[in-house]
Amino acid sequence: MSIMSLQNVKVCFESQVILKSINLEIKRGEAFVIIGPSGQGKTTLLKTLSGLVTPQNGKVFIEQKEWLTLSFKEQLPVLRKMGILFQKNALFDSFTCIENIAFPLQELGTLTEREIEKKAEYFLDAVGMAHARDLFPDEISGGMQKRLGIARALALDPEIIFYDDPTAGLDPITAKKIIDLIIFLKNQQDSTIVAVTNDMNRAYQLADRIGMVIDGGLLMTGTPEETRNHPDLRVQQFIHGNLTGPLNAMT
Amino acid sequence: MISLFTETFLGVFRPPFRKKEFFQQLHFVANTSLAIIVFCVSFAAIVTILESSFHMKLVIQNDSMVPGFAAVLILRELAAIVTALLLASRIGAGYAAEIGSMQITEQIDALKMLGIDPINYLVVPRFLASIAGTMMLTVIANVFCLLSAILVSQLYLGFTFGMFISSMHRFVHFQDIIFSMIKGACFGAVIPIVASYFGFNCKQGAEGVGHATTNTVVLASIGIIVVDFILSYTFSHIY
Ligand SMILES: Nc1ncnc2c1ncn2[C@@H]1O[C@H](COP(=O)(O)OP(=O)(O)OP(=O)(O)O)[C@@H](O)[C@H]1O
Ligand SMILES: [Mg+2]
Repeated sequence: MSIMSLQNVKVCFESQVILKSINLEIKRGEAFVIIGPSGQGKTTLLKTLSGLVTPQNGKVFIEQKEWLTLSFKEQLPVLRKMGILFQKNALFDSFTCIENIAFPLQELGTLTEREIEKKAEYFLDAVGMAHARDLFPDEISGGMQKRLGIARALALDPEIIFYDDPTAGLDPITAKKIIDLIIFLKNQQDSTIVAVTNDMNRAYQLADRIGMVIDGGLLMTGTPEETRNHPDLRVQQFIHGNLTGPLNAMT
Repeated sequence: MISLFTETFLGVFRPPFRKKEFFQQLHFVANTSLAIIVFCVSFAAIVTILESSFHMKLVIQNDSMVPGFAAVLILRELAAIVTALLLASRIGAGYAAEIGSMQITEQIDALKMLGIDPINYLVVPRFLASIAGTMMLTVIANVFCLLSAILVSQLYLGFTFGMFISSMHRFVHFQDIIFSMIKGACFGAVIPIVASYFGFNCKQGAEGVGHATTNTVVLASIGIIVVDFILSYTFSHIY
């Protein structure tokens, strides 16, 4: 059963067409990894799936509900089942680390102060950030910001988690730690995952299914195995990171 | 922008009510702007009274009505508009930059995804705080305007305190004070709406935030002057 689906979705930003006619279904419990060259619309696709970007055309279904026809109030229960790590983290810079996690919990209005604090500390600890509790986001390193972003995304125990480029700008060891954390969390909670990454090893490791975005369209979707053996030369060039091939003409 | 205003206005009556944010913002509006507003309006009042005295003497060789005129001008127009225009640049720019940078760093999206309505969380407290703050500052500005006018007319124009008050009495009505506060409230409403609009529609990059702030100050100032005209016109029918 699909938890999110896009039907004929077209997204434009000021007359520039970013996504054209995308059809995609994400199944419950699946880990879907989006790959593709820079600036081709991966983030836009992820944000469309999460309901943040409003397409010019087509329909977005999230939990069987036609998203664009819902008011914010009707969206609220579904939004609380989703967690997202943004590419630029989007941490609240006027809050300390612990407050960043506690804030969405406070907004729920169902927990006591003590419970909120305990829960926030638990997540901070889970991403190995307990020592940075009272620092502000701009006082911690990029890797720590990512981890804090993940902790915040997880704070509401989401059933659907979006990760936009969780390893961008990180050194290989930190990157591996973050991916391990994501895989660990996935196995623990069997949530649905949509992730953007260009690290192919990690993509194979994490994904049940991979989709490649090129030129505003989904060039292919398939298992890691199918992706590896895909006949299209552009896919082959991209996953092997070759400098020469059909992709050069586009960027 | 109209839809943002409607949503904000309706949002005022919808829970959750954010007292903490409201008082933070009120502090930002009132406290940090108080000194500069008192300074500017006082001087504006001094200039007004000196100029009108000078011209009255020139034209009708008599400036006995000056305190009354000046008081009316101050109460009906000067204090409220100078306060509002100063706030438009001071808090309008502040709000636009703040919301704009939250927009481009995806913090607004993050709020939405955490199930927090950005209008409820960001705009409504600023809207209410700006209305309350501008009203309060307008009252304070009126007081300081009159005080400096009295002082100057005593020192340079030779009116005693009693003369000033009795001259003022002939011209000024109680409504003037109420209208001045209504003006303050309306100006206060214009600023955060304009600022939030440009903030939410901020383009990527530092340049985007710059545009959002500049546009806010320009449009909020124009908005205030237009609203001022409409209100003055309406009030003139009520007198
Ligand atoms: N809010 C926006 N306004 C205008 N244009 C945008 C906006 N967001 C994205 N774009 C444009 O859409 C295109 C796709 O952007 P997107 O962020 O989806 O790419 P991406 O595949 O995630 O790239 P990267 O790998 O660099 O993160 C880009 O050309 C970008 O300039
Ligand atoms: Mg991206």
